[in-house]
Amino acid sequence: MKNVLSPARIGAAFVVAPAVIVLAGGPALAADNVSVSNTETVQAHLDASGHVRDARVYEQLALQGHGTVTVSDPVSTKNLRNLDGFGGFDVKGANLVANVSVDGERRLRAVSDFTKELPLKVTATYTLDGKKVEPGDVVGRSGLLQVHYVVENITGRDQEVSFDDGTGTKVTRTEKVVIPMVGSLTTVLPSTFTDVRSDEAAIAGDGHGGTKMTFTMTLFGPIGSPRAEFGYAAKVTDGVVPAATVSALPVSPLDSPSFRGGAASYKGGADTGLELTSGATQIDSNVLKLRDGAAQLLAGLIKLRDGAKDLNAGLSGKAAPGAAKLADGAGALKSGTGKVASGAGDAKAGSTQLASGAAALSDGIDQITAGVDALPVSLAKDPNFQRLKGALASMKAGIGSPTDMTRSTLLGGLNLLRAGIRSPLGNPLVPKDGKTGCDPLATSGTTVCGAADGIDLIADGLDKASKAGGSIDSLIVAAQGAYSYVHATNPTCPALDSNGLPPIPGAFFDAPAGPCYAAANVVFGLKADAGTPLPGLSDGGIKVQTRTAMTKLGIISGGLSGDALNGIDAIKKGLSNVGCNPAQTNPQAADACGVADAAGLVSAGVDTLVASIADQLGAALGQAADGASQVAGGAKALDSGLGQLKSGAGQLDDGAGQLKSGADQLSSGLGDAAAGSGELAAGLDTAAGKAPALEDGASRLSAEGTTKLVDAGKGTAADYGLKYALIEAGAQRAKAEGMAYGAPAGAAGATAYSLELAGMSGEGSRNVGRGLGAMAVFGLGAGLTVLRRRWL
Amino acid sequence: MRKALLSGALLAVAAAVIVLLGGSFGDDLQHVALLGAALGGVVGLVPHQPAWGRLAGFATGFVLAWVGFALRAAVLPDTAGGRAVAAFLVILAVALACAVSAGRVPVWSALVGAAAIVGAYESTYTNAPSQFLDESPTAATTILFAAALGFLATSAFAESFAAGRHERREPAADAGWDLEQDSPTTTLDSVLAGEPQ
Repeated sequence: MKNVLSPARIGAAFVVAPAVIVLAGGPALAADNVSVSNTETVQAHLDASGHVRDARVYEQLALQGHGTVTVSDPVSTKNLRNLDGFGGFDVKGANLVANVSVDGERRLRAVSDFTKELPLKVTATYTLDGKKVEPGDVVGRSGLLQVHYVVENITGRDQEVSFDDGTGTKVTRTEKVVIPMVGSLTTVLPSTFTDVRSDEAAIAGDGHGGTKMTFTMTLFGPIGSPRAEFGYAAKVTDGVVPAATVSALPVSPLDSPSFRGGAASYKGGADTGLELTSGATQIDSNVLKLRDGAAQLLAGLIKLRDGAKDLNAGLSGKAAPGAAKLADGAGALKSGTGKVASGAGDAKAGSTQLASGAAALSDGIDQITAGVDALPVSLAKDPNFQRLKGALASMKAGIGSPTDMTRSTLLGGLNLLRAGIRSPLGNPLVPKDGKTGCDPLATSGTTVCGAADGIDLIADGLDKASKAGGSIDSLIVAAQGAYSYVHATNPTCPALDSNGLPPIPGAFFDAPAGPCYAAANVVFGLKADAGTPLPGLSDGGIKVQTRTAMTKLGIISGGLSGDALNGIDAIKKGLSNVGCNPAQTNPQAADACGVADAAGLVSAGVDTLVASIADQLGAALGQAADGASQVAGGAKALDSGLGQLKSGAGQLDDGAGQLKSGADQLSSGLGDAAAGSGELAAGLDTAAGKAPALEDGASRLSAEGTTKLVDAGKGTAADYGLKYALIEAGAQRAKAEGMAYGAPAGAAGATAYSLELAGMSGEGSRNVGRGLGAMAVFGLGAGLTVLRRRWL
Repeated sequence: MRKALLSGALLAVAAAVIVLLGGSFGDDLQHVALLGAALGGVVGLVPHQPAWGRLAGFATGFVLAWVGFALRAAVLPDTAGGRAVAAFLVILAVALACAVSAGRVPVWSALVGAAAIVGAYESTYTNAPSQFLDESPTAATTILFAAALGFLATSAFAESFAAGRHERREPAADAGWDLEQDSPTTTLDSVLAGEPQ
């Protein structure tokens, strides 16, 4: 077969082969949803020192789905070339525009020159035996080679970031924020490199005698640093500079699984700092309150101490002596009321005898009247008649006048009795002190107080003492205050109830000699109501008993002022009625004459009456008889009043006895209270002395502890807050600027950087040598061939 | 048979020497030693007139294939289609060059030259097409050096073997050896050109 078809075959091949290639692309497809993702790979070649020689970017669009879609991908248009087909791309502006039909999966690839600044700057420096050398100087040399790499993320720019300074205030600060990038530098050292050492690299063998080294880099703060420095040292023979590859890519620390935990830890640190600051601030605030409270406590303790001292002084200097005096006075009162009771008994007996005597007198007068009636006219001359006149005069004199104040006459005795009941003596109608006019301090004379006056004075005093706000209430308040303080300082001592009384002593009280028990007894002794189930207090405290005594004394005073005095007045009127009318025959009339008056009239007018003695004497004796009857009636009334007086005096005696008992208890309790208040004052004095240390300690705790804790919390919150803000800002930059040229709208995208750091192996000279050697050998072979043909 | 043994032994020695020279001429030489020795041996063993045409063809194919790599790296798409076009163009260029030489440059040696650079550089190129300028010279000089040693090892003896073959043709034929089996009567160019035998 001839070779005549070769040109035809060649032409056919020219036409058919591309057609076959183009037709292999597949049919167009119906429209449907198509997802687009865009990846960029920037490949840069650097010399051994790190200077960029060239860089290009590979764009790759991956389309999945079904349908036709028009993509507009931002690219570098310089030397843009299609890697997936023979045709070019439509370029609009800085975008690669393609209308792509997709049925399942489709891919578009392009390469162009990288026209931007690389985000990483790589610098490599070399020292041989400690001297800095150029990379080419290493080739063929031996010694200790040290290689130092510096990889720097140069995407940083000043940007404002906001973070919490730990006090809830947002702080804005200008910081340099980089696009977060992570990567690695990998190099393989040949087997001529021995004793390889590095503090930063992961070192492994490459299986061919060489050493594979990998340096990892986290080129952003605060997790890493925008600048990474590392390197290695090795002993080299016939040295070379190994090539290295730096691979890096932007990463969002908030989304990357590798860094999400670290970013979260910074956020946690910031949050913890905030909580620490907040808590420490609260603690510091409370410590300051404690300090202020300690100061107030100190002031209160000082006041309390002073008050306790005053209380102690009052209890020991006034209340206790006063209570003692009260007890003494109550004893005297008891003695006096005993005498009153005894005197009332004597008066009762005397009044009984008086009633009996008056009755006998009336009977005698009746007998006299009957005898006068039987007297003859010659009676005036009769010696017996004369003796009768003398007897009448003596009787009148014995009865005495109404103003008599002597025991020698009947009226004098009555006046003395009346004055003993009610004073002033001889002038009962002139009031003094608003009631009786007697002088309570007088011990003799006409102003000495009577029994009823004394009772009234006692009743008034008791009434004033027991009234609301009276001295007993003042004592009660003081006693309650003392008890409340004891309660405040002794937790086992119960508080006063709503009635101002402590609970009935029980297990909660301390020992009977203790301050709680003593203070409770004081309160009970003063304030307990009648019927209180406490031994010795069934009749109530001093206040109740005082009211009872006052009431009883009022009853006694009423009896004395009423029945007793009225009875005495009636007796006096029956005995002698000043200004009486001798013609008055009604003995009940106000101007009826008494026995003495009648006797006077008889004695003075007996001579003139002799003539009509029968009539007149009979009438006078009749009046005498009536007066004697009135005396008898008054004596009976007196007897009744004195009975009441005796009964009241007995009750008064009982009340005085109770008063004395309560006063004794009060005196004893106040003594204990005085002793307790002294201990209280001493304890408060000690407490007041210690309280400044509490204030000082609180101040120091605030200044040296909690304040520093607050500062530490603020520092922690601000430090971690700033770092997390930098992470957030970096993450935002990674999302917005992570791609070298960007992705089509709506498409996912990513960019990776590969920086090829050239090695220095002397390969250029080797190539020249090999090339020349090859030509020489080929020439030698050709020469041998020629020689062989000619000479052999 | 002696020819095969001698040429094979020489090539074996050449291959071993190539490997051993790797220390001085680059480690890559070890990896292409057999390929280079074999291809150089082919160029040296296959007779062709003029003799320089073998080397010219080897060089032509070698250079065109190298240019093919450059086209792939710089212009053609990184697809099967792009590679097919490159291969198509290289082979076509080889054929055109050989055709233009009017048979002085054999197609086979040009194909051997193309195969040499492809065998030595294809995998390296595939790994880093953009490193063509950096890496292809190393691959090219390495395989060239290996092929030159292979050529040297065989070329000096190949002509004598060919001459001896013609001298001994008749005795061999008399001895019943079918020398046609070892000594083709048709040139390789004729075979490649599709000429009738």
